[in-house]
Amino acid sequence: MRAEHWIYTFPLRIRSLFRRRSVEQEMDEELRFHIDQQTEQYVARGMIPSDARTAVLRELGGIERRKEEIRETRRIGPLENIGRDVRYSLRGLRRTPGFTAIAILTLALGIGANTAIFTVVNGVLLRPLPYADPGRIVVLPGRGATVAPGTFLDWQDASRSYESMGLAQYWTPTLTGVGHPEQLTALQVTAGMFRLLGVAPLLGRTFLPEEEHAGKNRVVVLRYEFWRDRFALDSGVLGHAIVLDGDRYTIIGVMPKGFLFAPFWSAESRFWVPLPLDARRQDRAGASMRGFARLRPGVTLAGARAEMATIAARLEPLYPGTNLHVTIFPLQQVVVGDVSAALLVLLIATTLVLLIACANVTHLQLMRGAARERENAMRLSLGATRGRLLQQSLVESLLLALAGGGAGLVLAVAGVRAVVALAPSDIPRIDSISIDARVFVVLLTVAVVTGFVSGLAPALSMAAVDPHRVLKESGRGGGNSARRQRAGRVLVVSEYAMAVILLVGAGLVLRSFAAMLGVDPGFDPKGVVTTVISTHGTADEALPGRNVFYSNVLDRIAALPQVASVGAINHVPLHGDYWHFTYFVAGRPKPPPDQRSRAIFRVVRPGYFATMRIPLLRGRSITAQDMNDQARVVVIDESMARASWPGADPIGHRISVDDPDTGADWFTIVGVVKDVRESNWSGVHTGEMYYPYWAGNGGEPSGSFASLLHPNSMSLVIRSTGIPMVLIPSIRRIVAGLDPDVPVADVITLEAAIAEQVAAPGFYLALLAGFAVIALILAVVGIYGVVSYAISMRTREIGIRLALGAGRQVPFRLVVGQGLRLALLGALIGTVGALGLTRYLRTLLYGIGPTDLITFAITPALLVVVAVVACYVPARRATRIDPMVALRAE
Amino acid sequence: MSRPADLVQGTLDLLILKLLALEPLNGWSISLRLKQLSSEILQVSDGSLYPALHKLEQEGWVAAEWRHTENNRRAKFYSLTHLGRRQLKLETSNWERLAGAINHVVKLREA
Repeated sequence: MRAEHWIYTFPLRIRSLFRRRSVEQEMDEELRFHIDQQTEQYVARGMIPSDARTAVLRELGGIERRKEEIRETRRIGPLENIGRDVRYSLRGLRRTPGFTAIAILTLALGIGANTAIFTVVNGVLLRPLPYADPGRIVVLPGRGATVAPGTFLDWQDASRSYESMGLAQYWTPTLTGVGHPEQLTALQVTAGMFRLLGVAPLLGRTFLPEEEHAGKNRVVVLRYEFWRDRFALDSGVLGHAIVLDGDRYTIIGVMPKGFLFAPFWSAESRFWVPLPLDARRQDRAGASMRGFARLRPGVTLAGARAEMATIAARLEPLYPGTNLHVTIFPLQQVVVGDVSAALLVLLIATTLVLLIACANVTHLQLMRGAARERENAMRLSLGATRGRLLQQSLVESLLLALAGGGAGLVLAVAGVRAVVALAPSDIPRIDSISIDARVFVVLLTVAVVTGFVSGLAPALSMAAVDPHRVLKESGRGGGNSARRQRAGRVLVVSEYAMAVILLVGAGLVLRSFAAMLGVDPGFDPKGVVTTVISTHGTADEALPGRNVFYSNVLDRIAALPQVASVGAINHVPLHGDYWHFTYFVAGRPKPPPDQRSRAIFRVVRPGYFATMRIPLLRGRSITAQDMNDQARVVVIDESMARASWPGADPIGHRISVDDPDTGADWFTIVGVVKDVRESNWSGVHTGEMYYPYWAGNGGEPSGSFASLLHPNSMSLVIRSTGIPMVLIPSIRRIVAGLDPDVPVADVITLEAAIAEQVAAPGFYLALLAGFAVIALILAVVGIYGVVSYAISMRTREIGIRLALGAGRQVPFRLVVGQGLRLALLGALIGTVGALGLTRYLRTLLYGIGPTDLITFAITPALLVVVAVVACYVPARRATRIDPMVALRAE
Repeated sequence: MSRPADLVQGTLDLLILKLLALEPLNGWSISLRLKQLSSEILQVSDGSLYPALHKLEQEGWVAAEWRHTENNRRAKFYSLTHLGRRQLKLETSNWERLAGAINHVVKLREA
C-alpha cells in the first residue's frame, strides 16, 4: 500500500518541487476555466456578464486564498522547508563572515587532511593490485624471501593447492646499442607468470612454455612506460630487437598501461624476459628467486599453508636446510607490508584532527547560538516549532561542513600532490594514487557526518530555548549560558586530550627520528660517491681480464685530482644488495640446520676499508697480495666475531660456506673490522664476512663459491676531497675509454644513500608533526574562545569584585586558573589515551618504546604551558575591566 | 444549526470520489454535478472544491489530465485511480457505519 502510494505520488511531488512554474500555470488555467464556465451559465440564466463574474468570484471566496490553499496541498513539507532553511542559513552566514570563514577553514583543515591521507590509503592499500583476482595470488616461501629453483620445483610437484605457480628473478642487464650503455632493472620470469597474473598483453603475446629453455629465451615483453619512453608508442615495435648484456632479445609483446610487476623489489621492472631453468632444476642452494602461486578456487590461505607445512616437513630431511621457515603470504599483504601500519597511524592522526576541528566548530556554533537566542525565542513565540529550529540549525551546520568539505577537497588535492612528491620510494604504487570516486564518496560522507556531529549540540541547545525567559530577560546570562559554558568546557577538554595524543605521537616519532639520525653507520659517508660498474656481456667480462679491467678503472680514478682514495665491493652497504650465507667453523661439529650461523657475503678490493674509513679492530686488512695468491683469507666484522667467538680472538680460525661433509674450502680469518650498517638503517645486525676479490688467473679453485669471489659487477667507492658528484663525468670518461660498452650505473653519494634510508621515517614524522601542529593550533583557538566567552559572561561578576576592592590580579588568576584547570584535565585524559594508542606506532619507532617516559612527560607539560599562554590575552583584558562600566552595562 | 450548507467533515472527498467513479470530470462539472445531484441541499462551496481536488490528486487517489471539452475548451479532467477506488470503498463503508449509527440514535423512541 505505501509503496503503491509512492509510485503515484512521487512524480507529482517532484513536479511540484522542480516544475513550480508550470504547476502554477495549470492551476490558473483550471480556475479560469471554472470562472468562465460558471459565468457563462449565469449569463445564460439572464445575469449581466459583470454581475455574473462577481457572483462566481464571490462563490469561490477569494481566488488568491484558494490558490494558496491549493499550493498548500502540494507542499512537500520538510523538503521544501529545507530549501527555505538553506536560503535562510546562507543569509545568516553571510551576515557573520568572520564566524563563517573560521568555521569553514577549521573544517577544511580537518576534512582536507583526512581526505589526503585517505586518498593515499585508498591508492596504496585498498585499491587491488593490477592483476586478475589479485586476492588469490600468494607469495612463497615467506614475506618475499628468496627460494632456490630446485626447492620451488619440488613444491610445484607436490602441491595441489595452486592453479599455477611461477618464479621470478631480479635482473639488471646492460642495454647497449642506443646511446651510452645503461643498466636497467628487469625481471626474468617463468613462462607461466603472466598467466598466473591473469593480465593479457596490450600488443603481441607473452612467453610460450618452450621459451623457458636456454636458446629460445631471447624474447622480451616491454612495460607500457618503457615502450612509451623508448619507442614512442610505436605499434610496429614487435619483431624488433634490443641488446641486453650483449644478446639480442626480440620484442614479442607490450603490457597494458598501469601494469606493473616487480612487487617488493626495490625498483620497478622495465621489461620481462624468460627465466631459463634447465641448468638449475636441481639447484636447491642458490636461493636467488622469488616464488608466486595462484590459489585454486575453493582453496583457502589456511589450506595452502597446511599443505605447505606437510610438504616442507617431508622435504626437509631429504634436502636439509632448504625447507625451513616456509610460509605463504597473500601478495597484497607482502606488497603493502609495513606501510599499512604507518598509514593507519596517519589515518588515526587525521581523524583526531578532524574531531578537534568538529569540537571547535561546535563551540563556535554554540556561542553563535547564544547571540541568536533572542531571535530564536521570537521565532518560537511566533509559532515556529522546535523541530523547525532544530532542522534549521542542522542545515546551517551541514552547509558549513559541505563548504568545509569543498575547501578541504582543494587542500586534499594539494596535499596529495605534496605527499606523492615527498613520499619515500618504498611506499608501493605511490605514484599512481589519485582522488577517485571512492575518495569523493568518502569525502562527502565525512563532510555530512561532520556537519551532523558538529551541529547536533548547537541545534539541540538552540531548540531548547525558553522563549518566556529569554524574552522577559532584557540582558544576557541565565541558565542557558551556564549550560553552554559547561558544553564549551567539555569540548575544550576533549580537544586538549586529542591534541595531547597527537603531540605525544609526533613526539615519539621525533625522538625516534633523532635516535635514528644519531646512528653511527660504521663508515664515514662524507665525501664518498659510489657507482655500479658491470662488465656483464662485454669484452672485459672474461677472466682474468675482468680483474685487470677493474684494476685499471680504479687506478685511473685514483689518479684523478680531488680523489683521496678508491675501493670496490660487490654490494655497497645500505644501497646495494645483500646475500646471507651460512658458514661453518673448522673444528666444530656441524650444527643442525636451524641453528647455523649466517653472515652477509661481501667481496672487496684493497682500499675498500680505507676509503670507507671502516676501522680495523684486530689483525690486518685485505691487501692486493690476497687477490692473487692462494692464501684464502677473510676479514669478518665484530658482530660475527662476537657471535661465533664470544670473548675469544677469531684471528687464525677458519670458516667455510660449504658443507664440511662434502669437502669445504676453508678461509682463515686475518682481521676484524668494526660493524657497519649493512642493508637497513634501523634493522638488526647479522654480521658480515669480507672476502678478497680473486684475480681469476688460475690460482684459486673452481666451483660455485669460488666463482662468486670475482663478481662481474662491482660497486666502486670513491672518496673525494671536494664535492664527490663532480667526479662523475671524469669517471664516465675513464670507463668509456677502457670499454665503451660498460655502463656507469646507480651513481649515488653515500650521504644520499643514508638519507634515502631515513626518508620514510622523516616523511612520516613531517606528516605527523604537521597534523600535531594543526591540532595544537585548533585546541589553542578552542581554549581561547572558551575563556573569552566565560569572561564576557562574567564581566559583571568581575566588576563587582573589583568594585568591592579585589586586586587586579584576582580576575587574572580567575581566568588563567580556569584555562589551566581545563588544560590539565585535558592533558591528563590525553596522556591516558596516548598510552592506549601509541602502540600502533611501534613499527615506526626506532630506539625508543611506544611509552617513552621523556615524551610522555614533556609533551603534556608543554601543552599546559601553551594553554596558559593562550589564556593570557583574555586574562589581561579581564584585568582592564572598569567596574563602573561593567556594573552599569546591564 | 448555524450553517446547514456545511458538509460533514471529510464527506466532500467521498462525494468527489464517488462522482469520479462514474466518469472522469473537470472541476466545474464536478461542482455542477454536486449541486444537481444533491438537489442543491449540499451547497458545496466552489472555494473548497479545488483544494480538495488537488489534495486527492496529491494523495494519488485521482489522476488529472488535460482534455478538450465538448465546446472545445481545454480543461483539467480528473479520474479515479486504482488507489482511489480502494479509498472510495473504504470511505463508503465508513460513511455507512457513521450514518447507520447516527440514524440509530436519531430514531430512538422518546419515552
